Amino acid sequence: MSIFFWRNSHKNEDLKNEFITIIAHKYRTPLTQVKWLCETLLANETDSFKKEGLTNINQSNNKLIKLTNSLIEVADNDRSAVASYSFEVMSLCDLVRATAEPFKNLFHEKNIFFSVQTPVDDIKCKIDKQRIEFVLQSLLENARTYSSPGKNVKVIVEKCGPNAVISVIDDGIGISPEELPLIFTKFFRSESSRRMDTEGFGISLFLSKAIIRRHKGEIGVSSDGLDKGARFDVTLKVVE
Amino acid sequence: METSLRKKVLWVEDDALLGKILGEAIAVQGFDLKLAVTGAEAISILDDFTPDVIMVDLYLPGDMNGYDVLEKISHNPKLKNIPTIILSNFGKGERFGKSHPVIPTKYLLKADVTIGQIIETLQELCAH
Repeated sequence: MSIFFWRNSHKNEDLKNEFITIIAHKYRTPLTQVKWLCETLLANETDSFKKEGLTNINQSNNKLIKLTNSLIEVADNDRSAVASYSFEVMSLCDLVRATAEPFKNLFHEKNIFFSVQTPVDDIKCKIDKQRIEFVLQSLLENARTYSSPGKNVKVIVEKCGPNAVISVIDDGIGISPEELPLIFTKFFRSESSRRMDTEGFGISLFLSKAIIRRHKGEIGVSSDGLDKGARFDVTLKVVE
Repeated sequence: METSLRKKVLWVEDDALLGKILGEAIAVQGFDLKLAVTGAEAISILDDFTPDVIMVDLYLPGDMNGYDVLEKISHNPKLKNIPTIILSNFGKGERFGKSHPVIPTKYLLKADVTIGQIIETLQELCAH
């Protein structure tokens, strides 16, 4: 009997994920049309008011594209056999630096002190580039969203024996001890994060954990409590 | 630019608006572009048009999808060395875009790339 219910619930879950995937893919075509039209119109627009409007439309549309991509990733991740990863050996330090680069301005705009420390000797890891970029971007976006002006955010890459550890450390709003174990749960958002930002919907850390698990690595979080910052450590195997 | 000197591109895309927006941008950049709506139409165009780059969508109307078009090209000695691009809204590793024995030179997710990036990719592949 329990096997019957287990099978049925899995079937329903698969159908739900299949539905999300189809809908999300359908969204991508009109989103692409808006993106490409904005780009074309922007290239020829001289009126500064219209230019600003088009830029805003483009930025909002890009947010929708990111959201759609995340939904597809969540649905595909739940059907783990579907999501295929392409692993390649590459420099982790280069990847971290390149991913962090566009964030420098974003942190600067918010008056947050941002630094990236990588070791002199390169570290090679076998990774799915796009997905590790997603993990790093998610951690950096969270650090930016949940830190007030005047605070610090730092990224440190270190080699610890057979592993590489990427740490993203902030002194932002922190996480309460009760909410800490739930932080990687799908659609979970802590009370303080909800108060600070209403836009997130709690999938980037869930996906990050799934991605790192597929890399046979680990992702962990620590925080001394509310208003005491947070530290995320991503551990990946080093390729010698 | 002389027609014969212009780099030739065959693009298989069934969405009329995307075809118009990107098609015009590609043409403005000096490429000689042929647009096909189905895989069968693309194969028929290739009878007397040898492009420098072939770009395909994956999900197409008719009996052939983008991978079928690439597979057919890979068996044609005249065409098999032409660089190919998959330009689709199914990402690499997602459902329809899942791994396939025929590997394109480049794989681009439409919603993630700008027209400028597509044109840069075409220029890069035509330069080789």
